[in-house]
Amino acid sequence: MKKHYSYISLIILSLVLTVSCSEKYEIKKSASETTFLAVESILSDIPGIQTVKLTESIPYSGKDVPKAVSGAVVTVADAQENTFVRYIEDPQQPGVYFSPENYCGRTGHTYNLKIERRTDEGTKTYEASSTMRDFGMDISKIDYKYSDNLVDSLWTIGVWGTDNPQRDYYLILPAVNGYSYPMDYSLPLEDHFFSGAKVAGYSIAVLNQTVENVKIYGPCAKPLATGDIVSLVLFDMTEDFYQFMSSLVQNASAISIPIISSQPSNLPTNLVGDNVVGYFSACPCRVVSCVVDDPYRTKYIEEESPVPVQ
Amino acid sequence: MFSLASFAQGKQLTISGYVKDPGSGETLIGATVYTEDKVYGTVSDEVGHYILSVKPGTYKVVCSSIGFKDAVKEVEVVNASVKLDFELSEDKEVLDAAKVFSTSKRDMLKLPQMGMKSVGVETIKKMPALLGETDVIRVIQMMPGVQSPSEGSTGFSVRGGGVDQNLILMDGAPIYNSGHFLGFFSMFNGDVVKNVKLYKGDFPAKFGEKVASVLEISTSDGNMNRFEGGLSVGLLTSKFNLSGPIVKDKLSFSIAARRSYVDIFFPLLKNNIPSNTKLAFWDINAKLNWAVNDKNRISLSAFSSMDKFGVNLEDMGVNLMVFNYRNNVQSFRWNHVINPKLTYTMTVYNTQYKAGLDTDMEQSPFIWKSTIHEPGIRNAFTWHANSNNTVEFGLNGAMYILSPSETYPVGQTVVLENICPSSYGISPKIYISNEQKINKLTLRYGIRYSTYSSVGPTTQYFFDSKTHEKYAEKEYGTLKHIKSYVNGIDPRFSLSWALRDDFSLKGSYARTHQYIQQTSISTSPGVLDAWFAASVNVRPLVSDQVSVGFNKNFMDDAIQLSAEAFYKYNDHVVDLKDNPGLVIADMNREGLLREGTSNSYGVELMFEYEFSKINGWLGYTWSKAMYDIPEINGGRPYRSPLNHEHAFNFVFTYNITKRLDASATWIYYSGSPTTYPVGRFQYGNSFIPIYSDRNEDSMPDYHRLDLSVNLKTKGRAEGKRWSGEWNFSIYNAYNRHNAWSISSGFNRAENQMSSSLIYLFAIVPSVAYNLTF
Repeated sequence: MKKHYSYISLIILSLVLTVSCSEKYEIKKSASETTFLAVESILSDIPGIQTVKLTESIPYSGKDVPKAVSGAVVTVADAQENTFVRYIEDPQQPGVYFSPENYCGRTGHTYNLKIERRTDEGTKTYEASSTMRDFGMDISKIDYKYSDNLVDSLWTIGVWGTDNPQRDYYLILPAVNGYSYPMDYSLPLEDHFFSGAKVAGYSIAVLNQTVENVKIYGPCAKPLATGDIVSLVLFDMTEDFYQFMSSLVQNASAISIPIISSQPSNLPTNLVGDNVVGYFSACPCRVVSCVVDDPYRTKYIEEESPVPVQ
Repeated sequence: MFSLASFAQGKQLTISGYVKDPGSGETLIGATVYTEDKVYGTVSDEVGHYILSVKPGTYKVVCSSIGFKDAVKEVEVVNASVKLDFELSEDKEVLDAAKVFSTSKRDMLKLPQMGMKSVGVETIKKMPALLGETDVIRVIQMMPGVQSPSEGSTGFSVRGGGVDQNLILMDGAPIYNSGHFLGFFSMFNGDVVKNVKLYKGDFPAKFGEKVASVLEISTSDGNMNRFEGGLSVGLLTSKFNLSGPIVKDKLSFSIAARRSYVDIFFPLLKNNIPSNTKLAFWDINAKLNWAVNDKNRISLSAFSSMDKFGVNLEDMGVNLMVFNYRNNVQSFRWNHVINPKLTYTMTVYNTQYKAGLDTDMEQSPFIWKSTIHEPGIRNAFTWHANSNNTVEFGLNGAMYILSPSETYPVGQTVVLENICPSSYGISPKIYISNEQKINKLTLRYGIRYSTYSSVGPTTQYFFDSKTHEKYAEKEYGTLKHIKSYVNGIDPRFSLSWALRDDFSLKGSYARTHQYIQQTSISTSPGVLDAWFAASVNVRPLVSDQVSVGFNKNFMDDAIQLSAEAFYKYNDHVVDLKDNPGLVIADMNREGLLREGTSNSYGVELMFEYEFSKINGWLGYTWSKAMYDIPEINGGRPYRSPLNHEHAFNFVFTYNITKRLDASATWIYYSGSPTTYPVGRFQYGNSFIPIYSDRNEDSMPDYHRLDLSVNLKTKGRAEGKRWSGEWNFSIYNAYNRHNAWSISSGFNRAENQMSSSLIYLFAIVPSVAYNLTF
């Protein structure tokens, strides 16, 4: 669903630009005197090192880099087991807090994130809660194809599997050779068009692999070559987290489209505390990969059946 | 004062008849008919019929209408009512002078009617227009209290109200989308518009349904005497119109059509515009008018329009994607003179508005559409009880059928059929009002009662009013009752006190219920905006409006100053929650709504001037419009996105010679409310804006100068069967880049936040040639 309307947005933008002009505009507005704590954290069900990233908001304009928030006390508690783990700040990456190794969320458990931060005004506490559920989609495999009718550098990723009718929201994050795209490139997907259906070769993601994009996104954006491993990291999202991520992706874009862009507004958050933005979510996750044999293959290996079966 | 005793005024008879243009045989709307001693007076109705209640006696009756010479007839009224028709001959001098408003200024002083303007077709034709296309809505937008929602939009906001809060009636049938090219041009072909009336809040009891304004457009009936027509060739559109008698003096027809062809020029811009880009509209108006006899007139009107815009973006896997929307409207009207004091008008209409999206894209071709269908009937009676009391009463009914979103797969596709449940509503209305004259005081008081019932067949979703979570859904069969709103009692009151012949005070109060509302899904009103009917989850919008003002004429009515102040309070206003996503296909769309109140207040000043060669007006509006919806903007009130605090309108026309006239309009308004970021935070590799309060900021102020020159050829003056007219115009003469939108976001290439201003039109010169025969 989201994918289709992403296309629609692109096309409306093309139409808008057909009949209109745009020029750079300098917003004259005083920066907020309030500094916000920005929290970025997904707790997955895959054992490993989980992270919480803390930064401070900065003035809107300029090229300033957000200041990392160091020295905070970060804990994640398991409400069912009455246990908690403390995340330790990585000395190499100030503001990034790591869980103990092989830590992960468990299905049905509720996790409470607590951040204690010392400021000039005393210690401030921020909290968020999220419940891990089981993964809603049964994915058997993914495959890639080069889209010869698209621009030169686009590959589409198809998925084979069966959707759980009780689940509606997925977050799809592409990765190449273990390098994933940043979260704001991810695709929050609502499954209205294939809810509860069996899909075969459903094109779920598009990779825009160019040398230029490597400069922006890093090695995940390099044009595909034989032997590369293409992966999709799929998160099963709650509706609230979906709202956060879809708003984030929209707000990350530099140009909004007057006809379809909603009123500018701050992203929703599940964090409780003064002046805090971001989200903490416990999400089940699946990583599905395939190996590139012929990067310019224009069809999936297995014949696709584009019509979902309910 | 309001007792039945006021109706007992001794024996009263009537003088009644039709007012016509003998050249075309068309009846004249809004003509003033009065006795020479000015004791009795009235105005002709929408079919040119008038009724004057008088005491027995001998009278000289004067009939006047803008653009025509006054006619005077003497009549003796003794024992029975008298029929007296008028045929007014054209006054070329006055026509050339393009009088601004079709209701005379002296009448406006005395009418107990606030915030109403009636605009003649000649005014509309002489205003500068975008790309040479005359435009009713752009004239309306030059009135105080009326504002354009954004650059390039022919929708309009009245006194801070939403675009959906305007009841736009064409020959009695409602129009849901009044704009071509995504609202850049209006639906109303200037060649067929006969009369336009705009009510900004003090609605007569016969009107309701929308809370901000009523725009009543009457189309041409067609020439009863001879065939006539016109052909126009412009840079944007070509159009033609033809009318004439089928049976002379009995049955006439009128037909007009327009077609844009801006997309024809796209191949010339192939480096900038994707191939096969579509950007086109057409519309057709047709009308049959039958003067059955002196007591009966019947008309049948039809209007159809289509807009398409789409692109072929093969590089993105999109072979073709076309947005389209269309209006299909039919109305049948029967005007019947029951007796010399009582007339009846029945209007049966059928309105259908469709918005759609056809795609042919890799793997997932699909069709999306949304439909509003409103069939209805209006029964209106006017009883001229005596010279001091005119009673209007009637019974109306309408059905509202909304199909908000239907998605269908096309061929082999991964897209599944997805249909949001339709909603069906039935809304009967009844009203009565009386216009009463007591010496220099004229009162109009009345009441309107409406109900709305939501019925099946549909699947009704139930949302918790606090959490907005869906907690149930239920199937309802055809006409099975779901929810009714029965408290739609709308009192109406207005008065006019003519302290002197050239000075009057006015005041009014009106309550109105609106049962279907629209919320804008974007920062600019557009075709994808979502309509919501009253339901278990959405309550009807209720509006109360009070206004006071005065009219003062100077220099023998050559100059008129009017001022009005208003306060409006709306309850059960809805807006979409923060970050609602793309609403159009959301099955849970009613759960995205948040309810609250809004209020607006302001002052409107209008200074009209009308001399032999120069006329126009200067308008100024100061207004504020605020929303107060507890679950939006942290519960803090926020400005309406359609409110412009200060607005100036200047209209100037100069009749240089009989063949040459020039006009200029200048419009200024404070920048549209918007929301700017005050900070940013990092998430992933991106920066996300942190915003201030909703609509706390303003876009740059909007201003624009349009110029136009009309040059008539000598043909008609020399007695030829045809005449021509050149129109040269410049839209946005000093090339200001007025903002349509300002957006902000993270520019990854520059690794910093950036903002961009999108504007639609720079300077646009145009030329058009109109041929009439």
